[in-house]
Amino acid sequence: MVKVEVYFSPVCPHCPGARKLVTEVVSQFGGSVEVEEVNTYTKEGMERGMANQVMAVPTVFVDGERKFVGFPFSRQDLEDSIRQAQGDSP
Amino acid sequence: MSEELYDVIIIGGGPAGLTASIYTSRQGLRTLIIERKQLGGRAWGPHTIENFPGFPMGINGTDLMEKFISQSRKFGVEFKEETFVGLTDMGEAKMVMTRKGIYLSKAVILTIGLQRKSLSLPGETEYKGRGVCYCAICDGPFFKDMPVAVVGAGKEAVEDALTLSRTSSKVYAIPGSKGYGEGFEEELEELAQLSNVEILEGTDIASIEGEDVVTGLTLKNGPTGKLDVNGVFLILENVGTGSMIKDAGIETDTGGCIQVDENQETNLKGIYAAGDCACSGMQVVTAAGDGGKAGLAAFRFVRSLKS
Repeated sequence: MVKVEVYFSPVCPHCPGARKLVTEVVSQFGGSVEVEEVNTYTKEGMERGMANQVMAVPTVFVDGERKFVGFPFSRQDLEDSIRQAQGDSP
Repeated sequence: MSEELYDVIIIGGGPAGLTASIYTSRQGLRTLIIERKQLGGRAWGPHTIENFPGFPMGINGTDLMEKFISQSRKFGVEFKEETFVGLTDMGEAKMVMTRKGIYLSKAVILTIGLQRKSLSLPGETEYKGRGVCYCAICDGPFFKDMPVAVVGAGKEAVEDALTLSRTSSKVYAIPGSKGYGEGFEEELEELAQLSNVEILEGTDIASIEGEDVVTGLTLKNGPTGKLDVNGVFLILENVGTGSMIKDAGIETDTGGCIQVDENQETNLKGIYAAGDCACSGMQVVTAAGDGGKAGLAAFRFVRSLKS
């Protein structure tokens, strides 16, 4: 199962676009890809972000690898990142 | 190269391009929009647009742009998510080049928006997202109780420095050798009064440094030396258009704004421009209005070719 993590904050004007695109793209992959959204405006979210050196939102990780910082990023690039992770998955 | 000949290719899918496409496709012209990232452009986003007519309570930017997009689709506009890299006017046909292909069209409408000029600082790309940021309200919380620098001029830079002063331990405000500019003296005075803000005028950034993340800046052209900072917030300057436009032989003014006549036509027949790239007021309503004019003009041009 490939995991996509989206670090966001509720006051970030670029984050809704990133979250929406990630949700749409992940849904194309059926149940083989899961999404977790991490709200950095919570104590837990901020601590988790800092532990992963997240210093800007949105930041998107695919299978633990930082892939995108900021938005926009293209649908194609996101799809390619997920497919690459699937290819690497055992 | 694609064998297909479009009637109109619109480069850029913001409000100007989407409006132009509604006009051209509704008239039966085969229309293609090439957009490299997000349809809706700068207007798309969760901010509230309060001055677009018809929405007295304001409307979320994303919602407004989704209406534009829906209307374009309704009239059969085609979309390609590709990056525009060049344009050649071959007379009755125009050649549009992207990173993925080459397309031919009878008319072209440029709605490419503003290009944000990178400061091109050493370390800027390397540390993007690891201390280099472009949005104070988004990323300020990651630098709570840490020293940061805000690099850039204009009101946006002053406002971002004010925002960060509330959470960061120290803010170095660095407008560059040309200073902040004029028209926001009140905000600048407020910034200058803050005890945790230091405005460094007459200096520029030589490089951004760090290891895994940013640890500091080196300055030049002023009080030389290094600053220890954990975050560098860059305020990018808006410029008109890139070299691709000039290379196509399209005239711009000294600020990079594409020159157009009253019908949004450039100096090249059958090539039009609308929206921010033609510096038409920098508002969604003016972009839409000029996009409509460009669409109508392109329709008349294509019709004249057929006759």
